[in-house]
Amino acid sequence: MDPKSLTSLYAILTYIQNHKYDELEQQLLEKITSSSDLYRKGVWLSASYIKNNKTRDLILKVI
Amino acid sequence: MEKINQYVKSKTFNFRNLVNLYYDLSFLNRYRGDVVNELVNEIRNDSKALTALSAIQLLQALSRNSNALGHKEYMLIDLLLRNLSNMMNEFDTDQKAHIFKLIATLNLQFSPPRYRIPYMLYTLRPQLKESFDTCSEKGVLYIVQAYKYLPKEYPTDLLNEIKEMVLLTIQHSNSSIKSYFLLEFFFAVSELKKSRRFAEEKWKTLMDEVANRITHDDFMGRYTNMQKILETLYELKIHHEPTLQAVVTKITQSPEVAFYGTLYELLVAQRVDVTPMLDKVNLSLE
Repeated sequence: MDPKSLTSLYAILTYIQNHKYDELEQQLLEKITSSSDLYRKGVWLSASYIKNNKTRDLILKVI
Repeated sequence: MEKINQYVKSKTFNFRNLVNLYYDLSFLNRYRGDVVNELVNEIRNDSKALTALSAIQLLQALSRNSNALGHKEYMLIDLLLRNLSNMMNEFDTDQKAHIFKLIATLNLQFSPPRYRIPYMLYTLRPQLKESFDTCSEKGVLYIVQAYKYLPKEYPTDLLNEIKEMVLLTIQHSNSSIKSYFLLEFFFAVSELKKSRRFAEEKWKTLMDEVANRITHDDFMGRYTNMQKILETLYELKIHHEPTLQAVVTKITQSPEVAFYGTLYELLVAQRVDVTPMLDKVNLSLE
């Protein structure tokens, strides 16, 4: 999966809040925050159609 | 650009070359002042130099940069509009619809010298109203797209008749409407001011047909088209369950279930449960 799709997937998982994806969501968060182009991912996330506390926190952290 | 300036100063051009040059320059959005000066002078000296084709070409170039036109370009528009009224017999209905859209795009109600809708749009409206049933699909779309730029005081009778015609065709002879037209018509109507769009019941008729084609028609069922449809519904704040279900069916029936981030996001934003689809996708982080 390309980086943009991974960012999208993170936004979707934070919204659907299904416990079977909790681990995947955590892995995604780690992957996003440890990547070198963090700012770009923050921009993608801010342009996402999904907005909630988790995505907002991450956006504020990286931008 | 230097070569262009030299060419214009040398006065070795003919009018047709000058129109082509202005048309090409409009794509670059660079300084066009010298070319415009010469065009204005040429038309003033001999208005017969302006043919129907070059008039359309100039309008296309002007509408492309309608947000950044100079003083001389407004003079050129004025000259064009004055000459166009004598050429109307040379245009077919599709070309008239194209001119209607191009002039509307110029947004002359916000611009000098007169700050008003050109008279040409009022003379074109009855002509188009009389003959829009002979328009090609492209011509019909031009008219609907033009209404996006026309101010609210401009009469909407032409638009209303077109909307009615399309809806009646959908209800009684839907197979005669191409998917390409249906999609572009949907986008064009959705971009209009709220009062000019469809009432709720009529939206439903249009969207039911779109939804039906998502599962049965390859063109409408393309991922890019489904994404654009969902984006438009999201922006219009319309929740149309059959369309959402059609998109879900199309994705799940596809032999290779892939993850399309924006499409899934739009489904989630419309409160569709995407978990069954996510379960089918290989959610590898690599």
